[in-house]
Amino acid sequence: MSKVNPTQEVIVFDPEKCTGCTYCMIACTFKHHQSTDFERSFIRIIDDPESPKVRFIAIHCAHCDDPYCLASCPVEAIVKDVESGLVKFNTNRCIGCMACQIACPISNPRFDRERRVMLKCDFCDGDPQCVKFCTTGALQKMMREEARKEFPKRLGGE
Amino acid sequence: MSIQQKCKTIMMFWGCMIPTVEPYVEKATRYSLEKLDVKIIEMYEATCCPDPEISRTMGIDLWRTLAGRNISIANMSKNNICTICNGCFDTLTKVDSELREDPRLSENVNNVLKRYGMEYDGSSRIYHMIELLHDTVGVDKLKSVIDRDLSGLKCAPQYGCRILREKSDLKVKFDRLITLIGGEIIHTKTERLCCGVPAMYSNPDFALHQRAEVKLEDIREAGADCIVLFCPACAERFERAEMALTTEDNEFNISVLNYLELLALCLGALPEEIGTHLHRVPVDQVVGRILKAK
Repeated sequence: MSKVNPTQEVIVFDPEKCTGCTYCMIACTFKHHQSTDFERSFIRIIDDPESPKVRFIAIHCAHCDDPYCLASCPVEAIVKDVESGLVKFNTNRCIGCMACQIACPISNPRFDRERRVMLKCDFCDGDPQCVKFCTTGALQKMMREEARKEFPKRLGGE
Repeated sequence: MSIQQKCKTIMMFWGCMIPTVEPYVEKATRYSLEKLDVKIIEMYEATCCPDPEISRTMGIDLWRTLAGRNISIANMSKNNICTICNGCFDTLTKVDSELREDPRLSENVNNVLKRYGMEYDGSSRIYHMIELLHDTVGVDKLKSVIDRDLSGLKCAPQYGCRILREKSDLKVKFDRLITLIGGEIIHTKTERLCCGVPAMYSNPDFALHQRAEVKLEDIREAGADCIVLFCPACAERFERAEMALTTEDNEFNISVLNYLELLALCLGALPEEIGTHLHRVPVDQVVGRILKAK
């Protein structure tokens, strides 16, 4: 049975619009940690100066249809919400083993040194702050199906 | 009365930085708008916009209410607003559209404002200075009144993140305004890169070395005579960064000029009249070249 939820919302990043202002990281950090130390952000903007056209890459949780992190968790601290499609971490169960970070194709879950657990994007209850505060519209929220149609266009296809 | 006619008088929202740390921009604006027959109406009792970075992140309701209050000053006096600062423009236009679209939000804001005898009604249009100059004053009028031009001065435009939105044509208009007064636009590899203002709140070293320094190096390498911008926050960042980064072996000395200063000089202003000597990083060489131009 397909696990794809066509109405699931996801965050989509357009590298050509990003200016690297880091405001998404600040907004994320403040929402989740009440701090402006963007090193703790769940979205990371990676700078690649050698590639001027698409200089920035955003690393953020894709809330995968079939999450590797979930499969790797030894204590079942990760669940995929059937209704929203969001991949959620239960920090009361998490033992901080980092298996999810190793399993994730983009190593997205991060070990939080203060709380000694793994943390990652929770989609801000449907209103992702990174998208809301993005200065140029490089980050957008859209349905997964819509995003899937959008991506080939951005890669130069139809 | 059409918006265009109405905008021959404009209520200026100066923001925090221009009157306090960049007075030459205020002087140049007053000089230029007078020459262009645009009457400035003062917005007395305005507060900080407030800034669209930290204020908005930490208290979105307070941010919205204070911005709504600023807009209501123009609403109540039946004026349109113009701002030079990209941050102020972002805050005021975002709040204005939120309050227009969501009656619950405008009701919340007005519930606070009415205690002070104020009301937001959404009747004012908010202009960026680029729009005011390009659309309202108009390209033809600008061309016809300039006394001297920049004679090919190599200008590296700093657009600022907030005017690089997908649907915004401010970038194109900004370029046109530069060429209109005789500037040669120098496009750089990092022209989209943020100057580092938002990151400064979080990590000053990152903001200095990964953003401002990268841009300054690139602009220097591209051979630009100066950086031209509207946003006072970007200007402040660049000048402070140049001061912080300059060592005996590595001097930057890249003049950072607001477009309105260049415009005022092209309209016949003397440097001392607008206070160009107050820049932290001297602009004398560039100003001298403009004065020699015919």
